[in-house]
Amino acid sequence: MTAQEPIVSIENLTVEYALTSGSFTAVDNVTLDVKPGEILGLVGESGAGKSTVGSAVARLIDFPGAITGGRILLRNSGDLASLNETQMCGIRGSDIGMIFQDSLSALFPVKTIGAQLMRAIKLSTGLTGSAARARALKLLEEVGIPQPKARLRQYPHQFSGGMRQRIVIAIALAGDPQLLIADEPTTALDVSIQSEILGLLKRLAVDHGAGVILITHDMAVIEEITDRVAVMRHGKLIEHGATRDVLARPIQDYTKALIRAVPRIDTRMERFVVMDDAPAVSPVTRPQTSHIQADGPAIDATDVTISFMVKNAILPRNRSYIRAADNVSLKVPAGSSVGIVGESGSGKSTLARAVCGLQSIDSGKITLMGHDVGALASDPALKRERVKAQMIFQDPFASLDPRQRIGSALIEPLIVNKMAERDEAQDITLATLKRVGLSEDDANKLPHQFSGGQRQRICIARALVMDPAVLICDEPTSALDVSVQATILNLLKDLRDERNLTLMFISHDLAVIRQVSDRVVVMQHGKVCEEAETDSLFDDPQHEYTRHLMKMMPKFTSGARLQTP
Amino acid sequence: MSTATAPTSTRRFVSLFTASPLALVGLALFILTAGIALIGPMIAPQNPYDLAAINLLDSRLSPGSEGIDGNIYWLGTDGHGRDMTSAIIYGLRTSIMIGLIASTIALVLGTTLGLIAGYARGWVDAVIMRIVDLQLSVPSILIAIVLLAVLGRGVGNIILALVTVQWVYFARTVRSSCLIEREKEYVQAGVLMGFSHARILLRHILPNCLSPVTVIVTVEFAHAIALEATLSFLGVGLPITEPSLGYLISAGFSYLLNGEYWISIFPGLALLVTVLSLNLIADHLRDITDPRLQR
Repeated sequence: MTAQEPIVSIENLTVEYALTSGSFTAVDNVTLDVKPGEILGLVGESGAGKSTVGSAVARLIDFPGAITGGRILLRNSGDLASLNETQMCGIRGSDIGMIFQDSLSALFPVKTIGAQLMRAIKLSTGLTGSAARARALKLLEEVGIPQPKARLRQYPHQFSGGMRQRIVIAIALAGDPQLLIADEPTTALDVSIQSEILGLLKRLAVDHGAGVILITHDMAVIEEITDRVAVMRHGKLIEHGATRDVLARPIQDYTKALIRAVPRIDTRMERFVVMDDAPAVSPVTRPQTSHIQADGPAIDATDVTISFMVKNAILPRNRSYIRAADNVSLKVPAGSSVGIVGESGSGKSTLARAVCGLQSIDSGKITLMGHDVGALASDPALKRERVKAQMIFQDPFASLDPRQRIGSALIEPLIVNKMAERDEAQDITLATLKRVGLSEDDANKLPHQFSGGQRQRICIARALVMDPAVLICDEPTSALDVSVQATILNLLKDLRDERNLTLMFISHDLAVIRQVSDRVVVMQHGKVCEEAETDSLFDDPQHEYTRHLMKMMPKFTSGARLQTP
Repeated sequence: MSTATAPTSTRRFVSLFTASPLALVGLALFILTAGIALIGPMIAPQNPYDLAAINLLDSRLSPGSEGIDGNIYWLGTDGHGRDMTSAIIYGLRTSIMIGLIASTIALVLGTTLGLIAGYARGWVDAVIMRIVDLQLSVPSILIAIVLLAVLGRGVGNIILALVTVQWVYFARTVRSSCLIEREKEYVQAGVLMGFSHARILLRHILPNCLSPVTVIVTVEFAHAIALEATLSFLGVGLPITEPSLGYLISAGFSYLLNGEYWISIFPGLALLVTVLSLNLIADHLRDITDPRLQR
């Protein structure tokens, strides 16, 4: 394989963005190549410039960005960086295929997929009519779409996310490209679909002899399918080599830290190893008492059913509903933590919202610390009890009022609930900010001045000032980079020990769930499939669906070899 | 979104605004016209309402001519011998005052109803928004004419008519912003922290709905001035005792064919400059508050 001529050679590529104040170098002097039949993984955290490299190769960098240095040599086409837009149009689609993260917006919603696919075929190969149709059918078959003939006449919205991503891949393959650029192709998909799409990419690379650049933030994906990996940080290529070597014997500290920060599914870690420049969190003094109390359950849900109307009609019998929670029962002892895991649409978030009273339930009963949730929401006498359940949301950018200063956002609930006078509230706020690893100066800043991880800390701090007994975390780290995820999970663990918090942790990520919970509940289609102690569930899953989830989850084993204390 | 409250974003807002020369021209013109209107009585050569100061013998003098008292009428005089310069300054005062009051009341009313509709949803939303739809389906000038025909002329009535026509634009925009904001997680966090609906609505949702409102208030201010002028021109607006720009244009209209252009044209130019300056400002405000155009 080493003797083969590379499909694409990127030499000293530099991409800069012109800003009002000087310029920002998104990609700094990157040199890479991709050989036929090879999958090159491009990994890094947000802002590392990995997507920019992908876009630069297809010359999709728009104003104010520009390629300011280096060459992109595509086999048989010369230097792409020097071609004009018309020449590039001939290359995109026929020599280079692209696959994006969001398959819904990558497809044209008002044309059938057959029309879109045949147009791509016509543009890249010149085939028309029945020849184009035959090729379209062959492509759909190849990417694993069942009944391709009938499917050709359907529109994008009639397909599931995984199927749409297969169609996007089929369109990218229309011109039989030498190079495929896949930018986070599975990030928006559930694990079981992710593993199918990754398998498809691997098979295509081998069958077609095409080179693939796979851009991802997920180390497990890298380990599973790439041949070589390039690690990027702050626009620079910091480590590059065969995937097996890089993951087993990383040279750079950053790569080591990145590998260690990945939560492991095979065992539970006491703490995550965090990166050197991650914000320092003040050390914890561990409490002497056990965090499990015998006070009865903090959360007690019995036969909870929640449905949403999906089709309204005047006559009740014509209405149709979906059940987001179907006879769900759940007991969480005070001071313990329960993880709820499931794929999208399994009803895990709806259940979390119902537990804290944000979602009304159709039947069943939920009690929080001995009080009925419905009564907590409506009875003013129970207001002080109600605020004892707080929630951390998935999107740290939407969960803070963009116009409220951080200090004010933390003081406000204390004042409103008459839990403290202004001076005292000020002290509590500053102490809590420090506790979550922020400084006192941060109290005067606005949310947009913080990164995603810092915002999530602020959200945790805001929940903490209420001195909660129950903390419900709905995918709190899925919008964050792994290194940031590690610090947030460490923080949640410490806080749980310190404050005897009852934790309800919702995630689609089995590995994260394993790290934070005492018990795990697996949900599918609104029903509880399995509930067990964490270790016994992971070591000996009973339910078929749990086993399926575990099998599909890309396993990241390299972390284990690096976990030397 | 640019947030006008933060020191950094205020600076950003100023630098974005000053980046457009056209918007600066608009701002300068508006400051000029508003300034003239504000200090009008101090700089006007004559009080056009003071019948004692008006000499009927000076009627319909062309610009620059000398009156029988020896004073020069730079913009000529109208059919009653009023100095056009003074009439325009006083008319501008009336027009801008009415526009400002009407668009402010429409802003408050429309924002309130829009917030309530967006936050309450259900039948409250349905009722408010159907009224809005109904009003938007009829030309606003028609609604204003019918209202004034029923209520009669007068400053209060014309403000009422303008508010009736204009609150719907605020209500519609604020409702749609509110619908987006209320689903955001900071609102749910507020509910969990025991905040009352009023607090969530006024302290958290309202400030985040105001960006598009700044654009609309500028546009509607200009609309109000133009609409008031139209109504006065048609004779259903302000009474003769309080001449606004619209009335002046209409009064001079009959002299246009005699070649006595100045009685209509100069108030028309004043109106044009005022409305244009506001529209230039609004256009640019819309550009810089549009998140799609953010760099």
